[in-house]
Amino acid sequence: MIKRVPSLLNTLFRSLLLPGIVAVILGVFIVFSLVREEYDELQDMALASKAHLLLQVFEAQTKPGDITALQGDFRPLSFEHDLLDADELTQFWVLDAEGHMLLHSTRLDDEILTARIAGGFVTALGFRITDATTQDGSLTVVAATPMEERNEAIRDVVLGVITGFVLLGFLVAGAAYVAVRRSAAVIVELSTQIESKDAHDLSPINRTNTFAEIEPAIDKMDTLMARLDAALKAERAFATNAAHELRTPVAICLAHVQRLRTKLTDTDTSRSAADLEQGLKRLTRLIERLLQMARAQSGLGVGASAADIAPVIKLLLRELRERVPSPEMLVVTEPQGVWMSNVDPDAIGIILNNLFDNALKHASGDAPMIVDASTHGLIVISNDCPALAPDEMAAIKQRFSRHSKRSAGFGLGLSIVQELCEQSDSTLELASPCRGQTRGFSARVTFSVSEGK
Amino acid sequence: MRILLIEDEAALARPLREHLEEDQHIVEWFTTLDEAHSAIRTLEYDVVLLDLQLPDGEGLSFLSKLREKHIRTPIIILTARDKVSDRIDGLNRGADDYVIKPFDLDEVTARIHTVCRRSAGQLTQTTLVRDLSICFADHSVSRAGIAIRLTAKEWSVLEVLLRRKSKIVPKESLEAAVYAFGEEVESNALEAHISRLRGKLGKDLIVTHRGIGYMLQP
Repeated sequence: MIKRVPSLLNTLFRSLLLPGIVAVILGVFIVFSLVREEYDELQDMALASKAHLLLQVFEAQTKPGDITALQGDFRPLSFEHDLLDADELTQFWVLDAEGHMLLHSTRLDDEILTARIAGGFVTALGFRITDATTQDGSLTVVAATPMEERNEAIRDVVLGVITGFVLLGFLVAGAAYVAVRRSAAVIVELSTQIESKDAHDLSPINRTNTFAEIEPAIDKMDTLMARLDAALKAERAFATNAAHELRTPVAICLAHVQRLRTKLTDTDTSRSAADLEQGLKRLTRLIERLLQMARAQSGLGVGASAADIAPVIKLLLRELRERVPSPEMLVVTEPQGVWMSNVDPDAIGIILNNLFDNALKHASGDAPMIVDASTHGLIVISNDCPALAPDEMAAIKQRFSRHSKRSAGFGLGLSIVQELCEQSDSTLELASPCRGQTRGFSARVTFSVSEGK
Repeated sequence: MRILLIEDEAALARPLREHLEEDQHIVEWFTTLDEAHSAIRTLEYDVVLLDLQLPDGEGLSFLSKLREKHIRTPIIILTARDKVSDRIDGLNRGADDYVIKPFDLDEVTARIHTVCRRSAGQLTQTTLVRDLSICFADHSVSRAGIAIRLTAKEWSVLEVLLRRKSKIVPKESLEAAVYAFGEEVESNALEAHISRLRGKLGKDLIVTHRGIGYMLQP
């Protein structure tokens, strides 16, 4: 099973989003706790102050007997009426030493008195309750404020904090998204540039938009590509130089042996010279195949600049005509018009000459070899021979695999053709018997071509 | 035929020259482009065999220079460069054929004949002149199926005249084609060969244009 590679953008975004949400929740919770604690403390102090203030007023200015005179118009902190709703007002009770109610504010709920804890704060029946008592215990003021007001204030604070955090979160997330996108775009551009590199383009990477953090990686990449470029150039140069260095000595030997044969009169010696000549010719063919293989492995078939390949094919067909023993043994249909293609001319030469060699070598001789280039981009080379078995068909593209053990070939030709076709985005289809027939072998090569001008 | 061989590998040039001389050609061999350039300006050759990598330069630039100077002598490239692009380059610059090393000596001979025939406008290996059948491949001449034996020099004279059929060939060109560079030529040697050819092939086949040269009258 192939492991799916995660996207950098998604990974970065997820990595930032999750901690961001947790940070917002945690922030809201901490702010809520602190605000609630401080606010409660302030409100409790305010409530206690009101109770103590009233107590001191009653204790200092009013005789106990006179307190009842205030009964009808007891409105301490009357300013609250202008600021608060009726259900938000603080309520008061004034009790004597026995706990009898001397005075109380409007909207009285006497059950609150039963819930109070003397000298402390308590929350009950939707109120925050406290009291203040004179030193002699003669008067007690009980004050109670509705919790709803406090809770509303806390809710407003928390809502404000949450709104602030969410807005901040969106802002930070947006900024992070843009930053991540921009950073990822640099990585994507770098990746595209690296992806576009091949045997024909190993130029240094464009650094107009990079980061300091990835510069060392680009430096390393450029160094590696420069080394690869040098290695490929050396490999191609080797194939070219080796052609001269290997072919010339063999040419010298072959020429001398052929001259020697004309001078020899002794039968045995002549036969030896003939064997030597055959061996040299075989060595020539082997050198040719090995040089082709070296060129294929150095990426000869990888995109050249676009050019019309029809003249190249015509030249190869002209050379083929010179190789057949008699003109009637070859039927050729030449390419028409322009075949614009990126396939290297030398790769085309190696591909077609190998297929021509194959057809000439294995043709039965009962029917002509046919080369049909009438379809734009397609060349079909076919020859007459007994049909090949499926296992033979499967084996012939393998390196060092021969169609026949008695064949004079090395079993390299078709594997070289296959490799060059793959490199040049061309396709090679082999068939035996030929389509619609019971005999024969055909090779169809489709080059990637356009019409061009 | 007079052949200019430009090849710096002596070990290869020697057997090739020997083989071509055995085929009754006159071969002049040079190892540098400079020498070859002097030779081709001095003498007329029927074909040039040109190696591409020479000590004093590229054979292809030599080829281009010849064609720029309108020297139309057929040129066959003999090289170890086997790439299609090299072949196309050579042919585009004006080479008539391209033979890749190692080559069969007989193949080189056959290519020389093909190129020369193509250059002279003769597309078949055998040509008919009056009642004579003349084969370029084996240098044979026959009349009504009966072979007529010619010496190497006689064949060379006949071949030069055949290539310029119905045209007057200057005496100097015939002598240059028949005798190797620096070879001692007796004053009446060419006339002697012409006389013997007339005796073997027919008195009025070769017409003398006094003071100018000779012409083969088909």
